[in-house]
Amino acid sequence: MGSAVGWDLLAVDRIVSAPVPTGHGSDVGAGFACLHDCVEFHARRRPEHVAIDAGGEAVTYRDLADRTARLAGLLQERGVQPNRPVGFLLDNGVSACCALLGIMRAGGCYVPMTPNFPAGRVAAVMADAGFGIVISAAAFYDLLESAMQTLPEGDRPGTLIVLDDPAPPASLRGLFATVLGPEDLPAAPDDPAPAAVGPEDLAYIMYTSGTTGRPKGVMLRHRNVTAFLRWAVRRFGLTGADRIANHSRVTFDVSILDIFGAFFTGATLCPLTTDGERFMPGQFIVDRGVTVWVSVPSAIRSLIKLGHLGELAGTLRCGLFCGEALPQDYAAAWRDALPDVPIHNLYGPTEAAVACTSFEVGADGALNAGRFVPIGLPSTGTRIHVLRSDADVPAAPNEVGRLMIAGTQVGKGYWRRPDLTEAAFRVNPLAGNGDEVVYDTGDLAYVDDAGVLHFVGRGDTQVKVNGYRIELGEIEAVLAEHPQVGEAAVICLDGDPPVLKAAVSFYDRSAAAANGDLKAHCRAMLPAYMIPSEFAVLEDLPRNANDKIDRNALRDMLS
Amino acid sequence: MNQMTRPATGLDERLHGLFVDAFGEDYADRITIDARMEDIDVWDSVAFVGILLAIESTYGIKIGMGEAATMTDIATIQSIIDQKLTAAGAS
Repeated sequence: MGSAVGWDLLAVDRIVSAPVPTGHGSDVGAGFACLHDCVEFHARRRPEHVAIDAGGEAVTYRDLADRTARLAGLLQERGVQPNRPVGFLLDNGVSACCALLGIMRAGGCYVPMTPNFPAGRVAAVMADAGFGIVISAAAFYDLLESAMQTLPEGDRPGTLIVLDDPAPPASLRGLFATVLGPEDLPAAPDDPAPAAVGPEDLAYIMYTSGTTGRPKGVMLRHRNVTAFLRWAVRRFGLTGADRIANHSRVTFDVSILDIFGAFFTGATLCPLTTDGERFMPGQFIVDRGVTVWVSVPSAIRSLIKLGHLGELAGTLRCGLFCGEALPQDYAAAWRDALPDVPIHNLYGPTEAAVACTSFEVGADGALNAGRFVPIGLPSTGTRIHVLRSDADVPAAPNEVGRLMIAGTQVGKGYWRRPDLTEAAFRVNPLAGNGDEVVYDTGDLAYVDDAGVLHFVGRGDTQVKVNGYRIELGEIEAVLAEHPQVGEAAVICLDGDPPVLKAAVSFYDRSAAAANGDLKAHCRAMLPAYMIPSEFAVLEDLPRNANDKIDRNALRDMLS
Repeated sequence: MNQMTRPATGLDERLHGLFVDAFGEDYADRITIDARMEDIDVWDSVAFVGILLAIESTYGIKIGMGEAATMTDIATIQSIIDQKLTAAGAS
């Protein structure tokens, strides 16, 4: 393997100065032009510092930059171009980081898939993204094969790169036109050529639940995400001395805060790699010396309910929660157990680069009688508009309205879905000049008298369960594909956690598909977090006066 | 001390019942002393917390943070319960 002596030349001209006013923090200082540039910078600045501590495997910044360059070299040989997607199917850890960095270093944008996806969803992402190359590892051969077998030949990626197996099985060679292994990676270059990619190019396409049963890919440019990170690093005081937990899977954009919060600052990323660690993270935090915890609030449910939070004092210095509403009682428990450890509530949709508002409990306001912690104030470069429900004019203070996001973090739209992009990424009605885009989140919110934002809920049928964003319509569409199902509706009942329940009617009312059949049908297409816990079989679904499914009546029936 | 009924599977019937309550009757046959977290698709973080809380209240024991991190299979869970009950009985 070559050394990283060439990184000096690269880093300097890939750094931009980007001072942006307003919001939290007024001086964001220097940043990186593209996400992957930070690793090359720290490979020069602190080459022997551990970039990733994955338990059994630790990787320095020098090693990470070398591995990234080798994969990027292979991808460039295979013709990867800017703004073209490259997929990977990997779990959190060193390989996933190398894959996403290598793809971006080669100029492409990464499309993550993880092994908690069922084969049907892997296949759906492959078909929709249309990438020609997928990167994976031996542990996921079965899932890859199952997904590929469900796809028509024209929708299959032609090339598989296996990062850890020099002799992939013949069965895979029958599904991919080209199968490459670790021996095909070139040596790390001593003087790597600059990546032909810039801030306007796509960094990643992240798939989220779609209403029609088809997941939709959200496109983010490098500049959207680096703007977020410049703000986050300063706002949360991240430094090279930190050890930042990576709890969120790489298919969930909260992982960007973990991974690049670490790599932007030269800190150490500590990925949780087993379900045991994800479900019971307390011992992991202590054992790995994690200083910054980042996750959905539900990830610390076990620590709160079992009374273990206080044991993290002396280890953690900061808690960042994002991806779902932060219950006030969680924040109160945190403050009681860890009074010296700041806790921040972050808000933001994938479409606006991870998070675009934040609220530090205590510093930005006290806890109150509301159910959830406020979402706070906008990030640097973000402008939040709360518009009245019936007109494109600002809502009054304390009036609930539609939450719109404008500014540097707003992404490019939905991959290959101009209809959806046009509907959600609109001309900002308040900008005046008609050329600024505003993202219509579909969320409802209000601004209180102190100017602090509060999240109220959704204006549609999108829900969040344990941080996962779920379109109920996607589950309904999958259920409707069951050969016996005539009609299906899914509701989400409030609770900690919320509970998904489904009601179906059958074409042939004498044919009663067992609960297990419907569950198995869902399991083939949907991740576990999207599978309803109960399926009620009804002769007919309840209707309202407009002959639409009466979800309120259904809610009463299934509660 | 709680008296445990231990059928041939080696799994305490009350513990089996706690898992059935959490996962549902469909999973009753799969909840054995050999079952591991990765074998049971509904063994998620929510179910896990519920099970641990139910264990604490049913057996009158307290599960530590380090112990919780190791309780990723039923044999380990049963073993930790047994050790705690034995220690409580001896004290």
